[in-house]
Amino acid sequence: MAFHNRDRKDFNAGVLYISIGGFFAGFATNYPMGTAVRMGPAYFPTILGGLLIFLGLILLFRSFASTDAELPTKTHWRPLLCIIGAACLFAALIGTAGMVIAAAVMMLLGAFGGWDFRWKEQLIGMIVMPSVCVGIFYYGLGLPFKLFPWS
Amino acid sequence: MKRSVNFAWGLYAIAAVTANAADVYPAKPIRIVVAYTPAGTTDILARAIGQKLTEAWGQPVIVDNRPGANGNIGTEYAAKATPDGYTLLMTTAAPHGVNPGLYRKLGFDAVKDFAGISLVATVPNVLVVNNNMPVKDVKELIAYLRANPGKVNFGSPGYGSTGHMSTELFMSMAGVKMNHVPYKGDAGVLADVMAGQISLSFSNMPAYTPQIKAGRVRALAVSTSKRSPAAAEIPTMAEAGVQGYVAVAWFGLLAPANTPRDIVNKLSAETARILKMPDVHSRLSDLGAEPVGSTPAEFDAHIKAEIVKWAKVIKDANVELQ
Amino acid sequence: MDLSAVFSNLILGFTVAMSAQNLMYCFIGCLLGTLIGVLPGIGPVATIAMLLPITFNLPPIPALIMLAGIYYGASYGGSTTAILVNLPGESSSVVTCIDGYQMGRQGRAGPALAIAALGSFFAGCVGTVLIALFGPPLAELAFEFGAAEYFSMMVLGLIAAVVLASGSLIKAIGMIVIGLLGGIVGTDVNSGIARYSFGVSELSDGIGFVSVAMGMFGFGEIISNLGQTSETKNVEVSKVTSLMPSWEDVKASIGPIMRGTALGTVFGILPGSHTVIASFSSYTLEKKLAKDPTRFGKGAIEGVAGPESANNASAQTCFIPLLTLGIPTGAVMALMVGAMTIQGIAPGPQVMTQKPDLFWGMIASMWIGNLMLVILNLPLIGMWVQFLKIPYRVLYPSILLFIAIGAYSINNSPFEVYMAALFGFFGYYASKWGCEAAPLILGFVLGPLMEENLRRAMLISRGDPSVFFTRPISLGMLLVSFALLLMVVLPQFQKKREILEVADD
Repeated sequence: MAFHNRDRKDFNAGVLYISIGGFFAGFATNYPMGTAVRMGPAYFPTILGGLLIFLGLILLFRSFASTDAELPTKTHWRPLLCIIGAACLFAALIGTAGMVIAAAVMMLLGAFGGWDFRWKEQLIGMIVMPSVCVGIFYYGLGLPFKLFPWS
Repeated sequence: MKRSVNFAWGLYAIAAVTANAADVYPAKPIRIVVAYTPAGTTDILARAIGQKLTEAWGQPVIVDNRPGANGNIGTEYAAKATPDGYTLLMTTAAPHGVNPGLYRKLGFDAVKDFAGISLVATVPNVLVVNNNMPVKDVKELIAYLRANPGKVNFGSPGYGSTGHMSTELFMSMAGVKMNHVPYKGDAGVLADVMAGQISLSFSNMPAYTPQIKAGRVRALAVSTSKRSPAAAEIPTMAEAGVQGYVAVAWFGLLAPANTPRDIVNKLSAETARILKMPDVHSRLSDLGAEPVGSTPAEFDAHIKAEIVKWAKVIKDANVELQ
Repeated sequence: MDLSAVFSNLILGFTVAMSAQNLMYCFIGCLLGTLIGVLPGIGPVATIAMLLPITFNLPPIPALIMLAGIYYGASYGGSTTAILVNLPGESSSVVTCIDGYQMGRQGRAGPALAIAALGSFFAGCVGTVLIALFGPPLAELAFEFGAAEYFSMMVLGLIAAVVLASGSLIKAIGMIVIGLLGGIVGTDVNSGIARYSFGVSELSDGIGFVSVAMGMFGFGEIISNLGQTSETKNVEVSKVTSLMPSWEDVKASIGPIMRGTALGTVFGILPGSHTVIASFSSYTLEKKLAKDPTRFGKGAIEGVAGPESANNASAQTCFIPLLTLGIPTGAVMALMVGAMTIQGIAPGPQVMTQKPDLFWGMIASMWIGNLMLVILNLPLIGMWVQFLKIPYRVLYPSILLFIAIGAYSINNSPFEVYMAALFGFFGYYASKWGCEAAPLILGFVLGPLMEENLRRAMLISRGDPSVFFTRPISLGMLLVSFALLLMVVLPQFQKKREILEVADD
């Protein structure tokens, strides 16, 4: 972007606040507003959304008034994608492939997000931890998990 | 000729398979889906029945709590389960009574997607008022409400809950108007009726019985057609002057539609037998529930009647659809 | 107050609770609660819900004693994960994460855990004595609280949250507002409309606390850690300096423990209030009283001692409305109601008179449970701290797995796991840009209560806003909020003037 002279942390947070506030306030128009006496479902989110936009604007304004006190660290895509991906895969697999496979897949992909991936350790973890969890949650606590694709 | 022979053979084969299905059923653990959180009335009933089924048939019965969206999430889950008799649903008057009329869009068809096994238990609702309300019975209450239209606050455990609907039904039958103050669950309503923040509520009886006995709130009537054995001194609505008013909370066991008939019948007969056991009886009485037990056909008819009844209340009271 | 009656009642209680059988169940409860509650991702509510069926086949008194033990164990287990791996098991341990986790990173997890245990024990003792002496009259206080009072209390709680912020004030307020907005998602209590649910039926019940906390604190923190270590290629493991708190630690903690206990006791007895307010306001108070407030957020032991005591004091006293009136004050107490009902006990005012052995037995077992917890957990600290010696690359995939299982098991639905992933993503970027998670959590927990009570108060008063000022308790809390706000805002302005144009974060 073209703005060189700005505090990027404040700038980004400002943009974040304005978009979240705008989303909630904008979407609130789908609900009845009501009055201050009989507040409708839209009343609270509209006020709060407006307040958040206001706070975001202050941050934006402030970001141009100062330069970076400290640069925000750059995005670490590998851990971000691996961890979030591992959680989503777990959620997708647990209902179909069962907990054992979902857990093993999650641990593998999750471990891959670190910079220091060691096959041997992770393979042991992939076998030990799902077994421990099956023991605790399925047998110990009797939670109704689906364990395997065929069960 | 040959064709009809084949047809007959086919029928026989199906009959043999299904007969077999019921004979060997249950061959693996049974799962009862409860669309509410653990330790609630629905959950306790499911566990009580499940324990006795295990004792009778030697197969574990697992209670699977899938709460959320006023019971709709668990009910939808059960509707889509394999209809083999190994997934059942303990339902209530919400998903199989009020909700079909209240929600614009539901992920299940309360009638077509399910086969009734048995009505398990009913729980009466009770009409309570704060002790400072200048009324001693339902007649005085109606007179008071007529003199102060829309000025009295009533609480309910949620918008569109059976407590809310029972009060709407009362208002339309008695021709009175009150101001609705919704809460999240029974505890808040109970506390605020006792404290006098709100004046009146129509709720599931068990939570209120101790408070009524301790004189913390005044009970005016129960919603059932007969008096409750748990508090026989409280008159019914009909006795108190609102003829034909009946609104009970109920709980029943269902299977997904297309579950083999023999299995449904076997479960129904077993449930009815369980509900007659003295220890089950006393356990349910502790909950303020009355054990029922019915045939699949009776339960199916009950569900249909409930849906029609609540749809009419929702329409008459102009309750906003969700 | 008839002291001799209380005394004879307590003797009855201790005779019940000290029977070998009940002592055993109390111990098993504490142990199981601690062991399950300490699993990352499994909070107290989940622990109790999971362990509840175990008590179904016990007689009533042992069952309830065991459940109470499970509750204490699980609460303490939740604090343990907050200190060790930055995972709050329930909303009130969010505050413990702030300074407790920092202490852990500095190799002081042992003292943090020990002070949490000792503070909790002290608070538990005071709470128990209070219940025994003043339970019934204290319960009546709850009736003074209507929707207007609760609204004012939420305002007070939220303003206290602003003080929590160690960074920018504007960013902290923004995070509270985002939390409030997040709390709005779900079915509107007053109209039944499902707001911001986009036709997803899981969202009609709102976003779960566990998904938000596990996402922002759990996933978010792990991603940040991995990102940082990938640059340095070296994980800093501070040497564990000592297991037990030093004399300085103890001295610094005495005041916070006392004040935290007092705050927790007061908030615990109000039905509909939230333990989170107790622990957050205790943190705020300690930060305000501290000579050097900048230490907070960087591993100040007062920031663990105060909130943990407040938390446990309110965990004790929230039994008062349940035992004396039959009104549950939250998710955990609602589970206790279920457990009592299963045992054939209808919670209500008559429990005390009709079942004195149960009532007083439970009170006595509360004290015994707290004692057992200390005896059990002080030796365990050494073991917990050992976990921190496991290389992070081996430890974190297991934490991930526990978080996912914990989130899944709330409703037996993968939806919560997806939500946790979403909040992990959000939390990672928010913390990058200097926006803290703790104020968001508080807004998220209190927001729905605040809106609900504001609108309920207006409904009951027929739209007359003066109820907030004419009711004395409500007015009092609003005045305190206003004073707090001034205390927060004024120094900020002065600071601004002093250091012109220098960003405050």
